[in-house]
Amino acid sequence: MSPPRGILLALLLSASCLLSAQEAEAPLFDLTATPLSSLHYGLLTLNKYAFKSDGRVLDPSGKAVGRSDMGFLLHRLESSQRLRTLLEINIILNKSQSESEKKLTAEEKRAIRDILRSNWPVLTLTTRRQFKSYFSLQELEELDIAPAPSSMGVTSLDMKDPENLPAAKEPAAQPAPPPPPPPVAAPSAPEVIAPVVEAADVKPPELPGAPQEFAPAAAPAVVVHTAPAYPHLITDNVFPGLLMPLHAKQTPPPDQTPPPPPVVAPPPPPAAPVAAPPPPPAAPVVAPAPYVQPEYLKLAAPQSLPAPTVAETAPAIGELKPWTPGQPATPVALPPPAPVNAPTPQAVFEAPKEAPPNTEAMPPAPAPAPPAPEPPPVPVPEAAPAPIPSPPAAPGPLKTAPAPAEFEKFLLDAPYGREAKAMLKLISERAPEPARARALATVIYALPQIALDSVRSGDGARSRLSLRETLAAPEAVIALNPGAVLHGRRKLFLGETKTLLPESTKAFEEAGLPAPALLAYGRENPSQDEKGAWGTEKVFSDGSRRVAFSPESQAGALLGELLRLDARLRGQDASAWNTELFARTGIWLFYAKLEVVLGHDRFLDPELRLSYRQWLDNPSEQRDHLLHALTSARSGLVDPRTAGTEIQAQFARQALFDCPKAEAQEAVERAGAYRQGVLTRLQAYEDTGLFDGGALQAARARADQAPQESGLCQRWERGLSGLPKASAMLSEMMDSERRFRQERENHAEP
Amino acid sequence: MRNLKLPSLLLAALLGASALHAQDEPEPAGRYRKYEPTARSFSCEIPSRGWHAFEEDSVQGYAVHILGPDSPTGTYRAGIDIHWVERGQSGYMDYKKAIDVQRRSDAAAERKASPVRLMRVAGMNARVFEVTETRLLPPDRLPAAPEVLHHYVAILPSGDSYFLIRLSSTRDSYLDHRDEFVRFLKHFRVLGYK
Repeated sequence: MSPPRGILLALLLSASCLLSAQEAEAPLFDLTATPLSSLHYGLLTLNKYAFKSDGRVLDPSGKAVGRSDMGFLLHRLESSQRLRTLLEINIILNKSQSESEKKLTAEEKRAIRDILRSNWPVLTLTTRRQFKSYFSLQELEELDIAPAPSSMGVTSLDMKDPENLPAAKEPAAQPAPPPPPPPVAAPSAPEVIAPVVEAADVKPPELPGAPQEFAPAAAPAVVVHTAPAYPHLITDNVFPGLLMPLHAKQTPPPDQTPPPPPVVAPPPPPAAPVAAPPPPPAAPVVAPAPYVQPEYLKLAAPQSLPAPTVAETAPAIGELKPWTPGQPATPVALPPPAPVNAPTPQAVFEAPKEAPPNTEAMPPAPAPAPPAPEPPPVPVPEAAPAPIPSPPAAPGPLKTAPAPAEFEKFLLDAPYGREAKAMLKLISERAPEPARARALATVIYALPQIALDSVRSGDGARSRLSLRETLAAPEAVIALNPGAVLHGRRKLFLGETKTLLPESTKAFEEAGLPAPALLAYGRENPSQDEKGAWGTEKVFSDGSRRVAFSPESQAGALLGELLRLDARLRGQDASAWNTELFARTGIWLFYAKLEVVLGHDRFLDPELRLSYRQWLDNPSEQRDHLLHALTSARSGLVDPRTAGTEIQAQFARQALFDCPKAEAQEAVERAGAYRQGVLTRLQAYEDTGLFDGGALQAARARADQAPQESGLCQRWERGLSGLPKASAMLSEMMDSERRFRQERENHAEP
Repeated sequence: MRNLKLPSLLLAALLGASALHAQDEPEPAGRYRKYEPTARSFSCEIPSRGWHAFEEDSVQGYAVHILGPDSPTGTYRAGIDIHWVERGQSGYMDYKKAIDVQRRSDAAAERKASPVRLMRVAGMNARVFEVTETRLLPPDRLPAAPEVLHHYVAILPSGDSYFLIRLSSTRDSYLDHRDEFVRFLKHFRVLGYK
């Protein structure tokens, strides 16, 4: 051997040794550090990968998969599964005696549908479009909950940044690990990146006379973390057990029963260990996602609660709030955490079968309540036009919520009435993410009192949220308005003006007025029922009518209040406009889902239907309408001076700079706004022609008694720091709306 | 002598004309302020007192809202909303379809629209029309009574994209704000695009 050849050979040998050494030292994929989604578990299991107790994943040859390889591996497995699906369909089509795909027999169509349905999560958007004719719109909506692979990044695998991994996982002498695959870790939920408008992509419009150089795009790149779009398939990192497929068998938590012996093997015999050829070393195979008891369930156990202190102002989770003031709180035992098993491959590829909402289980649309004696007034904090002060800092609520079945179990023992439970169940089944996760988490965390009570809802058209701060925890009361009174006043020449009045006389009492002399407020029974714009209307002999809101409509109102409460508890309600947009978008998305399932929107009252259709067809117009209405004196929800977050931040900074003086000036401004709100409300009552001048005059005298507000400087400071969170919250909902509109466009007939 | 008289008469006439012109726009200084959003897509003039502007991003794109005085009934605040609509945004529709959607009639809301006409705004041929509708206001408080709303809509098309400007108020207070609205359109300038 000549010397140059020898040197070359030596170099090659040393290089291969170095490479193999690097391979040996390359960090391995750790299941405990980076949990996989149910979809990926299923794919790996189908392909005979095995899961070890120390978090390693072994390929069929028994070799551990590297961390940097996992992303590409999953991508390949998704791709091969997709190919397999298409081949299976192709075989059916080739065997078919039909002339074309449109003339397949029912049996063939059913077979293709089954294949597509069970493999839908791995199909790309384009493939889905090609096969959408096999499903109805409703089925497509249910199937499309699973994001298409192309929209999930390369693999949709949440990889951890190597620098953020615990030091114990990395050997000290290990060389720098290779960079992880493109999808970077999301802390707790799959990351969804909102579409970003790149300045370079924006084509400048050709305008005669317009300047050639224009300002660059100012649209920021928004990265939003959302709850998983397909909770049945994607395991959340925080509460892995709660988001497994509903029909998967459930395993008790490890601290209660021994860990389940096997992991999935297709088909999954419950006790069969994974046979990974060649058999791996003695390390036992464990369930891929070790069950972690959800945080809220841990906290719910009374014995696990720390001893309450006076300073502790956060609500104790699972603690029953007193139904009446003064009644001591009673601890409620939440249902034990339902054990969850690893998903089976079959389960992984089965889309959830949704049934139409069980409206039979809900109480029927409440007929307008007959006039009943008013219950004794309950002291509820008066909802002044000014927002309710933010509650004390609360521990972080849940980032996600249980699956519908889990939540249904929780509802069994929850201290709610039949109607409230039915509404919560409907929200659990039909509300879209992230509204669902937030609303249910709020129910479990804050256990707000929910009452269908027109006395407590006061002058709230559909609902009212009251929050009482106590030493132990803020007590939230959501009062839903079951209905209203419709009063018509004849105009001078033709027609009449119909005004919607509160159902309870408590609202008049709050305004300082006597109850109007209408039979709808008396004890007389209605003379007849009439079908009108508001559904079945109870008509009284003097022409007044009682109308009722449907349970679905009330469920939407409840969802909105839960979202507002959630924003408040999380400290994300610094911007009133953002909070309202957030809550109302959640409501519209919920109604849109209900409309798809029910096939109509008749569950909405006329005004709500107008707003909903406007949001559906012309969202910018609806947004403008809402802004102009909510900044008005009567509504008083949004301050017109500080509606936008940027302008609110500027306002707060300026006020804080000049704080004691600014606080006094602001108190004057707010007193003026309150006065305007009271006077215009009384004017509206006067326009009904139901009240005499003396009563109105006396009530107007109370307009100057604005509630004293203190601590404005602290509120500005708190608001200033909370504005980024408020913006992030709204971005989350906007992302959901964007997905909804995109899907709607995709399903629209050409 | 004759030669000297003519220029002086001309000068007097010019001075008189300028004085008359000044009488047409007796705007006190500081009554209006110039407003430009951070994206510098347009500029306009809004009243200095009682009108508040802010901008925001929505699913449908970029918008600037200018909120003015409340209605006498305290249920609807007058204001001007400017939307920049461009292709690629969620729910995008071209300006012709947008005009149809804005002008749609709705019996439940007693919604009616005027014919579309052309108006020169910011050097462009804007399509303007008026819409009236009846809504129950306020949306979340009782008592709620029907209120007729008036929208003055201007669409400034530019290729596939366009500005949509909506001047909204209650019908009863529209005449109080009409001059502000007209002035707003008169001073609206397109600077660039997002």
